[in-house]
Amino acid sequence: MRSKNKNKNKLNKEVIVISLITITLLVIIGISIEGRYNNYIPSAVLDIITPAQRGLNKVFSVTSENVLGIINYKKNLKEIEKLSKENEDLKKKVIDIDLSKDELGELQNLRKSLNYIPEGYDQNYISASVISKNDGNWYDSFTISAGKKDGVVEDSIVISGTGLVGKVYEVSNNYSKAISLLNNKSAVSFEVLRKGEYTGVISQNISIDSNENFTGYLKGYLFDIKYKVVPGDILITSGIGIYPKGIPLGEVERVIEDKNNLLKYVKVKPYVDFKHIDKVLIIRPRIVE
Amino acid sequence: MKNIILILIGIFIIIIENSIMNYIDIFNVSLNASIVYISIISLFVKRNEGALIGLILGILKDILIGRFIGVNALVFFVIGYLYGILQDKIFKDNVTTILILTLFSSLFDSLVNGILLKSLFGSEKILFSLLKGTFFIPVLNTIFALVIYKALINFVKKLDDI
Repeated sequence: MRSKNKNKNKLNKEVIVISLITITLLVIIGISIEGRYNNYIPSAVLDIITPAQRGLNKVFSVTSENVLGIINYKKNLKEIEKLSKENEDLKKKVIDIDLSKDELGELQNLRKSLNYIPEGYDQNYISASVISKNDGNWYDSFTISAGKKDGVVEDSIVISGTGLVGKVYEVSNNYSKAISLLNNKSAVSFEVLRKGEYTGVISQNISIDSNENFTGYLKGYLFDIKYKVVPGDILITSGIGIYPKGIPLGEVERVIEDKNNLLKYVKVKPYVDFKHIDKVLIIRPRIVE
Repeated sequence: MKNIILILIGIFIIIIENSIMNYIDIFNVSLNASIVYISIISLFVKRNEGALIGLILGILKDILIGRFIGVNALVFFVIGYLYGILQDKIFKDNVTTILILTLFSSLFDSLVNGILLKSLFGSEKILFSLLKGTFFIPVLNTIFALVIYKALINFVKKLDDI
């Protein structure tokens, strides 16, 4: 009789403890979503354990690169031929650009002499590499090998060789975590490369009434439906908002017209392959006055 | 002692998952080795210990690569405790039972992620997300469980004898 009571007491205590812990976890999740918490202990744990991840990741990426290189030997030879041809074309373009750069330099000197100072934007690049990533099943987030000590702050912009990768959401002393552009609810303002007047906004918050599958694509809209944007147009950041000007975003794949709302939507294929990111650059966010 | 070893192995699995396994994607989804690990070992430890191991490994996974702290912690904690309760009521030596339990824990993980993280999702159609969460990911995890369950269970039983 007494042992039955004792067992029941133990069970009650256990149930209470378990439900308390569950409620505490839910509260922690809520606080974390709000974003207002002191990051001291989590960042200390991150700093301690991440070097192991970094080491393993390096071994894995070197091994996989070498193995893939051997497997794709024939393909790589063709790729080298294609790139050499592209290189020649680009060299010719660079010469043209250099010539117009001289004119630009003269204009800027003239501007300085008239005491007209454009808004200064100090670009300090921090170069780092991605050392671990989450499973990518629902959203993509990465851990980057640069932290507070290297000058990374929250909301810093992460870019790779091919384009805009995303934004930093958590910083610890030596490492920081970033979330990809596809999973960011904030807006990125863009302009079309060949005609800078065609501007618009890319945001995952837009709901487009269409049968298109936007998985892995960016959604955006143009400010004016009269803009003649065609598939294949290159989009870059326009410099309005926290993203500095000139970062490639992606290529327009489809233009969707919505006559009712007087808006023109675009389906953009991002340049960055979020499954394979290695070297990145981190830039401080533009301070929006 | 046994718990500490299990926690250390769990930490090792999480580190390998973040650095290596998440870079290999199969049909655009990635293996979730840590949930398979927690599902299997909590069938063979006491339920409080299972819950504790789940809590610690979950918090660690959130710190290392999570967006909001507590999401993985909640999933692992609940699975650890629940499977600790179930362990006396099921036939543990049957492969099918273990595979079904892994399937269920994978579904639970997808459900919690779907509810708590939907503010982060990209522009996937809901049907596609549903298919991914309820089919591709659980099936992948179950296949992984099929591969490692025997070795893992033998190891946990051997720990009992130390």
